[in-house]
Order: sequence, then C-alpha cells, then structure tokens
Amino acid sequence: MEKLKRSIVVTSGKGGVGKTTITANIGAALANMNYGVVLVDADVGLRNLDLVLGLENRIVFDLLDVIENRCRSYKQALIKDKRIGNLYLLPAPQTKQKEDVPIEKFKELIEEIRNDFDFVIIDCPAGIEHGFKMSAEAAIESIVVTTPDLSSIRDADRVIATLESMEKNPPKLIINRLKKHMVKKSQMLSIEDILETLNVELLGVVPDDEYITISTNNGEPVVLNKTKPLYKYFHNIAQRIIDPQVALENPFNEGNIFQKFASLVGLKKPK
Amino acid sequence: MILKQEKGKLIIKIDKLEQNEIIKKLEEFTVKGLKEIAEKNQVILDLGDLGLNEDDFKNLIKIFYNFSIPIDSIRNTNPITKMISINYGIPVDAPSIINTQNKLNPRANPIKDEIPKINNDKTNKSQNLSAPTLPNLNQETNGILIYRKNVRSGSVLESEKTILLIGNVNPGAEIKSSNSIIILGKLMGTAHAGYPNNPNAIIFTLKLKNPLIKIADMVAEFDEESIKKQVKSREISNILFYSDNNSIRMEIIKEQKE
Repeated sequence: MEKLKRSIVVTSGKGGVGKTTITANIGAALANMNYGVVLVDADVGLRNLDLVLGLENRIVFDLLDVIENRCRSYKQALIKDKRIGNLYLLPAPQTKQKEDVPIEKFKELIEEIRNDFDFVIIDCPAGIEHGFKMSAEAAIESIVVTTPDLSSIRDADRVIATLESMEKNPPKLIINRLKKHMVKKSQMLSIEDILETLNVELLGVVPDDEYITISTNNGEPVVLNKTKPLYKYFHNIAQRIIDPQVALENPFNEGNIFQKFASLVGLKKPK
Repeated sequence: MILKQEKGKLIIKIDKLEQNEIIKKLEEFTVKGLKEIAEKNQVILDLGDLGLNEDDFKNLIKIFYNFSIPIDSIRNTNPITKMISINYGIPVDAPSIINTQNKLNPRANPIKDEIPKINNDKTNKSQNLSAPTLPNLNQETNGILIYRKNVRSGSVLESEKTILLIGNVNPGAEIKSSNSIIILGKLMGTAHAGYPNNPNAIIFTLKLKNPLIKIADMVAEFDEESIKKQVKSREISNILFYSDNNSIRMEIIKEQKE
C-alpha cells in the first residue's frame, strides 16, 4: 500500500493544554487503524512523550544522537510500542537545550522519516521560540490545541498567525478539556465562542475526563481502552485526519435514548 | 500671584488677570533673583480656571517675556485658553495626579472619567451617550486600506492610510493607522488611530470586548461593565471613538429613524 507520507505538528503556544497527551493518543489511534506512525518529541530538555506512552525505560538513542550521527540511521533510535505494532517514538534528549538542534537538520530528518511512514507527528514544545519554529518549519500540516480559557485561546491565536505566515496548509484546531456542564451553564467558553475568535477549521473536541490522569500516570494511551469515554473522541479525531468528511464527534450531541443505550453497551451508533 | 518651586519646576500661579499687579510683583521678585531661578527650572504658568481670550493671553505672555522669563508650559482647566495656548506654541501641563493614570500622555483623560459627565446631564436624557456638541470629523484622507481577515494575537496591522477592517481584532492583536480605523467586526485588542499625532482620527467598531483605545497620543482605558450599566444593555454595539479637548470620547451610534 502506498504510504500516506504526512507530517503533522501538534502545537499550542501555551503550555499545559494537553499537546503531549493528544499527540500520544492521536498517534496511538492512527496506529490502531493500521497506519505506520512515528511520534517525534521535539521538546528537547523537557521530554514527556515517552512517559505518556510508557516507554521511558527503553530509550537508548535520542533525536540529537540521530542528528549528530551517533547512530547508523534514525531507525536505530526509534522505539517500537509493544502494545500497538505500528507506533514508534523518536525521543528527545533530556540533557540538552532546544537550541542545540539545528532547524535545517531537524527538517531534513523529518522529511526522511515522512517518506518511510504514513504519519510523522511532532510534539512541539510550548512557546514560540526555537523549539516551535523548528517543529513548525519541519511539518507540512499543523494541529493547534487549545483549552476553553482566554489565555490559552490568545496564545493559540498567536501560534495560528505564525503558522499562517509560513504559508503551509491552514492549521486545524482541537479543543481540549471542555467541561460540558460548565458550558451548559455558560460558565465556560463554548465551542462557538472559541471558533469565533480563532476562525480555523475544527478538527475535534475532547471533553474533560479524570481518566486521562490515570492513563498518563500508567503510560497507557486512552485509545488502548475502548470502554473509556474518551476513546471515541480520539478515534474520531484520527478518522477526521484521514478523511475530513467524517462527522465531528460533538460532546453536546447525545442523540436519542436508544443511541445513548447503544453507546453504553458499546454498539456503534446507527447511521 | 503666588510663586512655588518644586522638583525642577517653577510654578507661577495667577488667579486674577490684573496686568499692573503682575508687573509689580514680577519687579519685586526679579530683585530677589527670579530670573536665575527661571533659567534653572521649567517654568509653568498656572492659570487655574481663568478664561482668557487670545489678546489677554498674548499680553500676559509678553509681560513674562519682557522680564526674560520664558514660559515652558501652562496649566489651565479652561478648554478655550488651553486651545489658544497650544496654538501659540505653549504646551499644556497637567497636574501630577492625572499624570500617573495615563501611560502615554498626561493630557489624555481615561474614558471612564468622561462617560459619567455626559450621563449626568439629566436635561438631555434621550441623548444620554452622545456628546453635547458634535465635532467636525470630516477630513481628507489620502486613501484607504481595506483588509478582510482577522488580525490575530501578536500581529500588528499598520498603515498610514485609513484602515477599513472587515474582521475581528483578536485579543493581543494591534491595529494602527495614521488616520482613522473602521472595524466591521469585533475589537478585542488594541486600536491606535491617528498614530503618532493626528487627533482628528476616529475609531469605529461594530462590537468590542476589553479593548484598548488610543487616538494620537491619548489612551483610554475602557471600562465595559460600567458603560453597559449606564446604557442599561447587555451588549454595546456601533461604537465611535473620537478625541475632543485632549481626551477620548465615546458615542454609541444609533439607528437613524426615518
């Protein structure tokens, strides 16, 4: 089968909005759908993606080892996930600075990996400095993650402006940690409010869920467990990355009582 | 006439415009070495609330000039005298209390101070938020810049021309024009019209939320909540900002009934 050869950067501007968790889960969801996925942690010095995936004790070579030719090929540094066959991680060095990675070299590496796999997903560091520029330059597509709070939206806006000025594919948006009951009481910004400001295409919505903390601590992406409520949202995002025509999984759209019951017992929604 | 010296400033306070008395006092002080003090300090002429016409003002300045005391700036609460003074090339100095409130220029008053004044005019209830006298805003501009896109956080849309923006100014974004700014959208960031020194510029926006308004060297902090209370409406729309007497004023444009 022809490889899809897509490179996507997951970014947000503000820290702590869930870039790493979303990268891990989208990657795992895509790999579950039998696509070859490489997750690249670009957060040099503050790597976390290995933890979220539960691969931290298997790191031998890292990103900088590949760039500075300390290993034969990038493939030697890739860590294969034992639970999901098609998922690989290229970890970031923990003892170095972001500036130690030259932008051009990183871009070349991402291009090389992209040609061998279906997806390269780059977990971008917070901020709009070197680490962001490096990740954004290297990828062709971009996903901006925001939470429904003003500071996160403002930072996302800034990042979108920078991405737009790079003249690449228009960025897509994921709204993370939406609290449904708060939106209903208009205590939290709604999806519409956020889209009014950011004015970009919405890729997906992920509601707030306590299980994500457990999942991160255990190093097990949510997508591995089909019974968990967040599974369908990440799966939906992965589907929408493959085919933008797939309908958005909207947390406010609960359907009728039969559909609710069907989703409770794990059946698919009737179309 | 009272003389006061503080922190490099010589303040000459005049509460009555009697030329003979001023001359007499000045002669007195000159003997005591007023000229030397005036040379070392910034001379501020405090006119209180005296309303002077152009001739009075010129004569007064001439008296000081004859005693070789150059006036650096004046203090006055009377708008007409202020205008004359500015036209005459003498800047208006503001008391230090206002100075701390304003970031760019002591002359500008925050907008929240301005609004209640208009509202207190109970005789004019139907036009609560329109200024008593409408300024002439007609002006020639050397072109217009039409921009149809949202201005995003961190970016600045800047032009010497009047900007017609069809889109929003997002929080953290800035729109800056040497002339006027018309926003057909929502202003949530900073709008700076008349940059750097054109007080005739205006800003119009359909909607706004926590904006920062600047016209020429004036800056207004916008207290949306208090205005909403005064207008007794949840949302304010069609807002015009213009400068008048060195302060920024606001007007809500209502639909004209035929």
